Amino acid sequence: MRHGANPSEPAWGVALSATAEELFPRCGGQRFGISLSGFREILHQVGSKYLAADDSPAAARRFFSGLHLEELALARACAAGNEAAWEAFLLRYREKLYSAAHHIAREDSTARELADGLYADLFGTAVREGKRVCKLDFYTGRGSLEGWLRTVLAQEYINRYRSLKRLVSLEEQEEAGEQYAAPAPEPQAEVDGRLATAVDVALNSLSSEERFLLSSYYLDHRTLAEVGRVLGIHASNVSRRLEKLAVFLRGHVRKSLVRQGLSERQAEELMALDVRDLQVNIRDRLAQKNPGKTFSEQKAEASGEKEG
Amino acid sequence: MTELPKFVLHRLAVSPAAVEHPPADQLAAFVEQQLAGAEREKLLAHLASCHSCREAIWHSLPEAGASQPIIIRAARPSFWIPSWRWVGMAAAAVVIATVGLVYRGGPGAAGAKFASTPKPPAVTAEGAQTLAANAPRPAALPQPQRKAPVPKIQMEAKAVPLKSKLAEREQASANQLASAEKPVQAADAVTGAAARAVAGGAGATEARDSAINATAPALSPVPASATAPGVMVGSAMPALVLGKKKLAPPTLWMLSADGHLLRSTDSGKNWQSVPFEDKVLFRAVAVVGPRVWAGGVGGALYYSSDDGSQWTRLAPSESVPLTEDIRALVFQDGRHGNLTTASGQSWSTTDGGHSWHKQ
Repeated sequence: MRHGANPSEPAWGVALSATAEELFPRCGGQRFGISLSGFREILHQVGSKYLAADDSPAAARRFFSGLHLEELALARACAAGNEAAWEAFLLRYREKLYSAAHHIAREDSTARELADGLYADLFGTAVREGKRVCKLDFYTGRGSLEGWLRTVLAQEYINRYRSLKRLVSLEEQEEAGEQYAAPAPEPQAEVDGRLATAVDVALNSLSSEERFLLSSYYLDHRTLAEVGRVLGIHASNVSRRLEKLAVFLRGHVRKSLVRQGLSERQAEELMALDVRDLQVNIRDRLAQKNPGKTFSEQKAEASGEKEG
Repeated sequence: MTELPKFVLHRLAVSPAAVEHPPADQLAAFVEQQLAGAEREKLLAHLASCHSCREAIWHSLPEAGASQPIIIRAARPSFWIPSWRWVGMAAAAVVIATVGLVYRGGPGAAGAKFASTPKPPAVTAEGAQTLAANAPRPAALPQPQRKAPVPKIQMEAKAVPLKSKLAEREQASANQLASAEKPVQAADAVTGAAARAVAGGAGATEARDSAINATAPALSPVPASATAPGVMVGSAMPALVLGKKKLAPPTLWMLSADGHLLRSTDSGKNWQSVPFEDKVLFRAVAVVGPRVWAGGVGGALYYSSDDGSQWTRLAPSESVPLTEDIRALVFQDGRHGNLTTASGQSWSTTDGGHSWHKQ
């Protein structure tokens, strides 16, 4: 492992000053009061987050060159409270932000509330332990600033939607007919242990991208075009791959069951029986039991770390 | 689409979700094809088992607007997988174009009809640009137009009496040479030397071929690329009517003879030069949906994931960075592409241009 002069510095830190000097003109940070040393500090922060300590200076240079530097500088200047940067930001993103919020929420008042809430976070109205917390400090230039804003909006929307779902009023529950106790569901057939094992083995043999394809299309019910857009491939390609995966999974599960001692006919029967009779509540299964950390929680932690 | 058995869906849904979620900028970078290698693989593994993060991704997708292909979800199970649907639509368009041209009669008439359409340059599809670039024709001959109003021809044929139709045809033939000059001049005004690549049209046979070439790919969101000045590329998708909402035309791209990257958002009526701080001279451009790559002198390579609103400079590099002029750029889809340099070096990428490998 190569390290710079300072043992605590990552290997890529050796050439960081030169890289910052090379890339500084591209970021246009002077317009918003960002100096070369400030820009170097920003690169250092981003690099510390995404680069390994033993990454070479050349790899770091490639990584930094691929960042959306101009948008990164704009975001950090906004976070620092530069007025010119805010003017540029509002001119460029204000309409887009409201439009994205409307696209996500599909309803005017919710969309406005969502966008206004994000604006408050972006302006840094929250103060934690005497320090202004600005969400734009978390943008690192990996994707476009617009894409990042859309993603943050989407995350906020999902978090709010989830929390609101837990606060459904009694009247709404009554309107939805939920005050009447539903009859106890009939006991459902359990998935045969051998079948579950065979399916798990088959699913584990797939690549991450293939599992993502299956989840997106069959669980999230996204269109071929949407899945294709996210993966950067054409919809017809998605369709072909899904067809192949379905065939592969069936074949793999059947073979696996046979290997466990079932005859071909028994394996087919088990698979067919399951399809007809199992009442799998996918919706319940999809409800994440461990939602992990929300953005707000991550933000709070990160700011705590910074201060610490 | 083949349905998956419920037991597979069941096991897929109960996959253990990761405890820690990726940050928003990583998700945004993933959606914009900016992640590669192990980082992308790790994120995909998380997404495959995390419904919340997938949901965030779906919500954060930009609205399918002008340049996004509209692909209607195929019924399941169905023979009409999307690729066949496009082929069918393209075939239907070719048949309509051919019938229209044959119905109009002799070669002069067809050529004159095309030549009388006033808006140059109009060839946007890959097939047409290849034809135009490889086989330049005399500028004095009529120019085939992509917007040849084929259905209109048929309507006119019904409405106009035969005699007046013949008279019109003769008049059109007589005006043929004169009118063919106009598009060339107009195209020159826009791009400097644009007309060289798209001018021409030698008679009915070639005009028909051009019309077919121009029509067929226009129905499919195929990747497109260009290296010759004046050749337009775009996410070839006509303005479609979806319900009552008519979508805007797709963004078109073109290189001027002096190396500027030009963009049109109104089907080629107006063109704006895209400003770059580095004053790059561009030599090649490739387009896949809203994603645009433009390469030029000194190894300059830029990428935009949003129809050219924002640009990122890419830096192809292996042991040494690429410094030669980029002469050709071809992308098969949003991730797989190749570039060729002036000395014939070939570089390829499998992650949308984030990293490149010398062949």
